[in-house]
Amino acid sequence: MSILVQNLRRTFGSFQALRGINLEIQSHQLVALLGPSGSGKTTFLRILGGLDFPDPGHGKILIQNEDVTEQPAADRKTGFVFQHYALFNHLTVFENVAFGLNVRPKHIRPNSNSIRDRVVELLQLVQLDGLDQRLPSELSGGQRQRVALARALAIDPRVLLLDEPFGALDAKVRKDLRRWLRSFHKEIGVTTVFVTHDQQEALELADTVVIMNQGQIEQVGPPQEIYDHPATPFVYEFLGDVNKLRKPGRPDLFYVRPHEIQILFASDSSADFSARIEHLFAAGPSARLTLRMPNTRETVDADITRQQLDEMGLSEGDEVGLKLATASPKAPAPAVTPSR
Amino acid sequence: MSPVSRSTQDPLWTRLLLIGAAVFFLVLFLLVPLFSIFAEAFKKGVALYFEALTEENARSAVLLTLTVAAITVPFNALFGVAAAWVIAKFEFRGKSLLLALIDLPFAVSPVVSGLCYILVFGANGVLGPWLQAHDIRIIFALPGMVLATIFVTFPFVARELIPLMQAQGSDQEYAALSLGASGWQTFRRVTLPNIKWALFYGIILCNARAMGEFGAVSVVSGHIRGETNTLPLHVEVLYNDYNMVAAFACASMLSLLGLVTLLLKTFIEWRTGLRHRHS
Repeated sequence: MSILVQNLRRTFGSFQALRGINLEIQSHQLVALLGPSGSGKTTFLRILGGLDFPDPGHGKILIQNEDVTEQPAADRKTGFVFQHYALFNHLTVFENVAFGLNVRPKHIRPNSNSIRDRVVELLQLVQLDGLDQRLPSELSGGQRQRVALARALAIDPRVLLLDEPFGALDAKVRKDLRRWLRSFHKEIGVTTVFVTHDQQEALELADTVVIMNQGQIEQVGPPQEIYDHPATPFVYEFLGDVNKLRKPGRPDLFYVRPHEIQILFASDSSADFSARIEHLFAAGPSARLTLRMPNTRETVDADITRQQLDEMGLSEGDEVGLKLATASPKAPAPAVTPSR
Repeated sequence: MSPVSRSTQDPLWTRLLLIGAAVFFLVLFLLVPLFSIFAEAFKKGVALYFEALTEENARSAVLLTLTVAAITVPFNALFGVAAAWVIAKFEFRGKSLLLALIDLPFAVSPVVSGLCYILVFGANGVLGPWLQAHDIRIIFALPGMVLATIFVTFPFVARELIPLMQAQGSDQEYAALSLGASGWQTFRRVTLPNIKWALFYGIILCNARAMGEFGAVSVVSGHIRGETNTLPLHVEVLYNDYNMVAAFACASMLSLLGLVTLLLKTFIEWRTGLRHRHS
């Protein structure tokens, strides 16, 4: 279901965790809240789930046009998956998943047969059938994660909220689970918001990426658009792999990604800069060069094809010319001093 | 026990010396006194031992001790859970003051706390005349002894639970809430099972102290034989009467209580140890 957030503020003592968040999320979307630690993304997620509340009178949250700002977590029907899963250690997998149904008041509680059917169905959905009598301590990290997911889904949540869903897993499981979550979301179609500090994860997984910094939203959009057209210097830098450079004789800074730099022979008169190759490494079809600018002593990364590397016969210590690819008109970022 | 790595192991003579010293003190200060209690108690035969325990004043002392514990322990268990819950799961102003207050009974001598009750509830105390006018007896009666015992055993349960609940955090409670559980359901189904062994541990320590408390109770009891003497007070009375067999017989009961407490304590540690290894 759709979520609408208006002018949300949250202050802890003198620290402003959220400073006026406005956001609209369409139904069935998979949304990533992306930002460095301390950017307010987890606080925002907890407020969406009713586990925390905005400063009184500062902000409004609507789920499917219903104002839920003051509604406590128990009434809000949002499925929340915690970073460390928060499974009930003393209950079996089955009892964990059935928890949300078992605590319902008598007149709306399903009978035990339908609860069992629902739990079995959910465990199948998260591919954990047969593990229903295990305790959480007998499961792997990835399995616990999926129990937490099934438990949150048992209450038919209006929206699903995931706090750093892959944060506590090792790299291999992370990748598998990421792929699985993508298809899983397609299958169930519940509006899902997840928090992450890993830009790769956000860009690969989400339909919409929300980039947060210091309690504010920097940019909202589809991953491709955000990557190609960063709105602020912060977004440009945060998405990684970016060079800051200054054209000779001019004070303003440029942001340019490694693949947007063209490498020419030093003698080429069309080069914008000259630089020396400090380090070079080729993996697969592309090669990464680390170049040092002789006049400013800054280093710059550039990606070129393996083929070009071989054709030009480049090696460490060589002098080359650099040219900013004219095919990338978005290269120059606003001439602002970067925030970090 | 995990194997000791050679790099941290001391030479043989050091180890023998340290172990020997530990065993020596253990025997001298623990085993010998414990043994002598039972030896003294049975000195004049088993019959006299049981007579000392079943004699009227002794029976009344046991009954009173059990009554005081039966009121004190549930009260302090409830209080301890509530205090630990508030301190571990919420942030509020005055939290450190509350923590200090919970520790107060550990810091104050029990005799002093008993005297404070006399100053408040005694005949010449602040509330004394009013209590007398309404014919309510607190000092030199059961209510005073219960109050004094509650005060002295205040911290046991709370102190046991606070670090555990702080370490567990609140995520499971939040998870329960977001799944639609009410506050009471969250406590019953999530919090309580997570703390049950620590709670049990706190309760047996609280119980042992409640039954064994001497100082505070001694001040407010008035030592009326057969009426306001608890078991520890009864032991003192008998000892002062040079009735050694009876004194040690009653003391042996208190010692048994201590041994049972230790056994339960070990059992709980073994249980929770199992659970930790599991997870």
